[in-house]
Amino acid sequence: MTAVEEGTRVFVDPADPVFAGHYPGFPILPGLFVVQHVHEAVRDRLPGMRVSAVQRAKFLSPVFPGDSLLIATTFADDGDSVLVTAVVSTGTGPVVEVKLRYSGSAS
Amino acid sequence: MTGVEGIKRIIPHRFPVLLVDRVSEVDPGRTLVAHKAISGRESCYEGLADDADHAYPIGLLLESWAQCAVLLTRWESPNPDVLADKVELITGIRGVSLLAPVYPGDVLTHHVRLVREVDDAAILAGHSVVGGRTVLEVGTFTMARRGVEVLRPQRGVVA
Repeated sequence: MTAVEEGTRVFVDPADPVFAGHYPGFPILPGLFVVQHVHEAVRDRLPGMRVSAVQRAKFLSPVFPGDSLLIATTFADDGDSVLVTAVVSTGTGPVVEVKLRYSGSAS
Repeated sequence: MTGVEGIKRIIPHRFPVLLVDRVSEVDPGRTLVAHKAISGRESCYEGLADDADHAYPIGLLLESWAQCAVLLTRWESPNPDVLADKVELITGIRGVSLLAPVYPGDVLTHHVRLVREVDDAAILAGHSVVGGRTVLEVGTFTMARRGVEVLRPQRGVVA
């Protein structure tokens, strides 16, 4: 059992082309892109493993262009896999909570 | 068969994040089957190192499935413009299994099933297949519709 608490910051660039299409006239970051940011923040710390499940995610509030995301993660060994629990916050509080499972790469 | 033009008449997602190409089957209020071809020309591959993993990002894979969920819930009450109607928001997912990575050249077939719909909220489930192999299972996907007026970020709040 290991538990490491770290924080990664991600700036949500208003110039990101995603906002032209999600949504025209009302730009918000797709909630599932926040899950991608969490994955990118942790995957290099789990060499040889691949993300195998999103056990759960709660989307509490939309993420807007210009927001700064703080990704706080906890790692827990769970047999052959690692469970990563992440809380993503902006200046106004938590926006996404997600649990990702990483498993040994089996191609 | 409904192509991108028809899809744009039903959901508000647009380039470069309209991630559904074609709807092949729909039973309104119940099920939908749609397809998305993954291309090496998508922006997620721009600048990627030659020896990097070229698996399609999970955020895009899941967003593509989620857009099919919006298509099913909006099939008979289209929402092509969030300013004229409501914003489609994901509120939760549970029990998502990522069974195999997908790559450029793969064609995803998304299967979506409406579990329950109440007022401005819906629960859906489903899976995705590439070439007969299930690559994604979605246990529970919940979404909600909200007016833009209640979602706008509060300006003037000290960060």
